[in-house]
Amino acid sequence: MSVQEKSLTIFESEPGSPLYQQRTWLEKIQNVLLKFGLTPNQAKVYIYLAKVGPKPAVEIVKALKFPRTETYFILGGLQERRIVKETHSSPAEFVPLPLEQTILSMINAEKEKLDTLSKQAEELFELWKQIPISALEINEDISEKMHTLQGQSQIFSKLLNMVSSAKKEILVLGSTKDLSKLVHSEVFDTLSNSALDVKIVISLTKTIPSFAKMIDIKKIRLLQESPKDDQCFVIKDNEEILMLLRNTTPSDDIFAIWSDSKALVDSVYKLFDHSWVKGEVVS
Amino acid sequence: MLDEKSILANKKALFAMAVEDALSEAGQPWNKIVTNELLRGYKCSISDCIDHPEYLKDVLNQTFGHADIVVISKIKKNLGEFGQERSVNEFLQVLAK
Repeated sequence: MSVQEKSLTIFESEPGSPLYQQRTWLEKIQNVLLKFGLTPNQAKVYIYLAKVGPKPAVEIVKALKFPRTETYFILGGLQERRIVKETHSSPAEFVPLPLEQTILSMINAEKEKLDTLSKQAEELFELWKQIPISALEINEDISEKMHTLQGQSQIFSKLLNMVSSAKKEILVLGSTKDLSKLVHSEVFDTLSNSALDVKIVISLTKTIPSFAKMIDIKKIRLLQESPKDDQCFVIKDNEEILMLLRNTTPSDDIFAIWSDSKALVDSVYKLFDHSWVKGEVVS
Repeated sequence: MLDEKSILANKKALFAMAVEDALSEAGQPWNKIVTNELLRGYKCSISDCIDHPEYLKDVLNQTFGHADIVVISKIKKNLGEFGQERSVNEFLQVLAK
């Protein structure tokens, strides 16, 4: 039996045959080579060459019964991996690296890949640091939002959030009746102790209602008229507005909109400014 | 005939080899017939068909009729793992339509 036939028989031996044990060993080696990125047939050709020694392509085709095209393709792949070399003789023979060197070579190739990835990761981290958070916040700033709020709990919660997160000023406009609905929201308690620039315009009244007496009177102006009877809103830092709607209905059913729309905030801000100028200073 | 270095360096040549071997297995004259038909009908060679698989599909169908499926199957077998390369895989998909 020739060496080539023996090799072929090993790859195709059946369970129970004398060569089956060797076939299982070869398959174990093949599986390890697959883990290093070889294809199943690349592994078979390499194992064949590594065991039998240098052979021309035509011998490999005969021994492994692979098509010529595929065999040349596989040899090309093994040469690219530098674990098989081609001689300059005619016909050319394909010489494998010994298994130990092949494994070391493939481990080194994987290490090189890891090193390259590691360098790329460092570059990525540097780039990451250079991107400011504001660059990612642009879209959020541009997109204006509007939410509807229904019921006291939602509205009070939003109001308190606005007051506690304000940095410069809080402007409030509303009638005594409307503002009295906010008494239980603790907004007036918070505003009374706040260092913010607070301005409150109370419409349709000549006297300060009791719930607002805790606030410095310099911060309050009274307006006997109102541009519209049911006007009631809170503006935070000229950036956000909470506007009570349907505020003439029972308090359980109050309804509001919150928005950071610049156009809306600006126009309502002007209305407040006009009302503040027109309002009476409390003496 | 291409030498081994050219074959290993040239994937087009490998592809042509797979087709030529499949035609040779079908019988001696077919390689020449298909080559001539490709030249006459499409002014191209077998290796050019990797970029125009529809030319080869048409010529194989004209030459072998329904039996073209046997030749296509042989081409696929000859390509083996080479058939998993994207360009070759796309070629095989057109041929199998």
